[in-house]
Amino acid sequence: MAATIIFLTLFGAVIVVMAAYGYRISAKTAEDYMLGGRTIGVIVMFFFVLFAISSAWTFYGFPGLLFTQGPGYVMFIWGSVAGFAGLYMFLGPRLWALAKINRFLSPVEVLSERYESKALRLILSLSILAFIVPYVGIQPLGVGAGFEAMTGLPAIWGAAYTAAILIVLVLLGGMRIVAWVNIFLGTVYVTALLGSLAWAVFRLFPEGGLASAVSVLAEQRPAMLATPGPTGEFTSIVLAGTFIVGLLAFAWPHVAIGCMTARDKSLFKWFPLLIFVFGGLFFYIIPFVWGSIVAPAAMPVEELQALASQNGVELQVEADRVVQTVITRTLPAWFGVYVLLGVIAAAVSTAAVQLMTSSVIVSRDVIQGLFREDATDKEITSWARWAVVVIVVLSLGISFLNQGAMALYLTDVSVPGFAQWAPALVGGLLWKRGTRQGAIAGTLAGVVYLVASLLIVVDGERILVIGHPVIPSLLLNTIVYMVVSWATPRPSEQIENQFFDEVDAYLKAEAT
Amino acid sequence: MGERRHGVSLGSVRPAHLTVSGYLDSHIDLIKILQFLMFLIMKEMLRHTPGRVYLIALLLSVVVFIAILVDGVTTVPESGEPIVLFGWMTMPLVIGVAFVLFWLVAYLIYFFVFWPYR
Repeated sequence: MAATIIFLTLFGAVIVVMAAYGYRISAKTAEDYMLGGRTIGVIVMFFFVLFAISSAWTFYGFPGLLFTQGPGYVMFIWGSVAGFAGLYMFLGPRLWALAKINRFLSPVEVLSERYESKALRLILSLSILAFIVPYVGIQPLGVGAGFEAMTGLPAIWGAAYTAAILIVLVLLGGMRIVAWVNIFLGTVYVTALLGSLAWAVFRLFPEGGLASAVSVLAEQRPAMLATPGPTGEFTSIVLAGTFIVGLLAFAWPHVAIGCMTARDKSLFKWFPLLIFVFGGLFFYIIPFVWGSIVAPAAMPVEELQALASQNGVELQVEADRVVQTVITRTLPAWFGVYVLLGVIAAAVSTAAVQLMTSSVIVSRDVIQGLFREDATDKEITSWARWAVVVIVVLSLGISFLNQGAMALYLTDVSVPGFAQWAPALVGGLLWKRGTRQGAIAGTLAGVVYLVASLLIVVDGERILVIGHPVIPSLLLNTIVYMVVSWATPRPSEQIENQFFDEVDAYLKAEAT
Repeated sequence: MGERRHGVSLGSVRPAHLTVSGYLDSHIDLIKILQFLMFLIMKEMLRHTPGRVYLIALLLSVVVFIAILVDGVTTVPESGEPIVLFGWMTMPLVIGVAFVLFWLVAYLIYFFVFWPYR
């Protein structure tokens, strides 16, 4: 226990020192605090974005669902890799150029200016905050689960520790230090994830390695080696739906804002390479192997069910921490602590970026955009910092009151919620004919339908959900956006010039 | 062009395709039409083709990926044994890796050869 506390203290101290250093060297402007002064290069951006999207979910929720339902859930990863790459290949350069030319500080601000609408600014801000804030809270709670699995102490201690680190990091450091700290956090995360997998395979299956683990599964639980999996959940249609939900990753607001921090356009040329090679062909395969092969071969589902009953939780909640449980049982205690640090790194790296994004939206779009247009840089930055504290407390409260399986919260609630600004975003950047009325009507229709489909339950069934919560809501959103845009007067020439012609010229002319 | 067409089909005593000049004239017309069509296509190609081909290739890969998922390639085949490559790669992993590799190759070709902002 003493060693655990020492490790955790040292880990927290490194982050606090980096945050303090970041505060010291920062330019103390809103642009510097919110977008790192638009100076993030390709390597820092890679760590920044990859570990912004690789949260405690990657270490716990993703392997947890693979453990109970088989390998089909990996389709979400393949879709996400394409979605993230698509963001940086197609939308990123335009979003970056627009923000740089016009000094925009948030993606919501870009769209509100593109559509010339304060109402849209409020609608987008509130809908993004509504879906991102609970997800921020899931991260500390995810750490708490691992903390409990390893130490036996209440999960709230791990959650409180993570929340404290988050507040200090974001409050002092701002976006630049969040990006830099992600290099440190990402390194801890990757080494913990990969190291634990390699070591556990070496210990558990010394003869034959992964092939031996697969042989165990083929004998004991063969349904784990193909779809639809042990529960029959991942039918062909569900697989396709899961893949499509993954593709919508391009609309995650905390990833989209990363585009605006880029130093120059060459980043958009190189970044997809790292996503494909490091993300798709290496990093995400590690938790897949953990959850679909190693953990189920090391721990029969009956044993995990017994553990869940003993702990008074559902099987899926227990499965969310199965990787930590296997590590704790198999590897030395000190390495278990290191893995926990890896999970904390994963949680902090994601939640910090989500927190930054949320605080930028609160400060720049809600407070300044709607109430105090003449606010100074100092005031905007100050509001953003206050927003950090409020959002952490709020998100922890919401997540604590609505605890559930981590993986499903991401794919069933957050992703459909994030997707509702996608038509306005894509249309705003690429379609000259998209209008204010279309964006407002589409977004409202999509959000209202999504919330209704999640809340209305008849005989245990969500009757408004067709296939997956995102499918009907996004379809409705897109159709309404396009139809209303066609039916209303096209945007002014000045908007066309500012948001399309100027951007094209800038992208073609800008030296790299 | 109008005069030639007139000469080919209406101005000759014998059917145009049976005279040397008529044969050449009619084919010259055809060649010109083909040249015009090629010009249209080329113009389109010169404007947008690399980007369009790239986008179409990516969209097709998504459609094909979904199609093979629906086709059941990741399920247990009729033999009753799940397909496992190299002793540990299950089919959901294999097809995903293939999909990412396709996107990687397409991206490398487009962004390092054709990307207009490079």
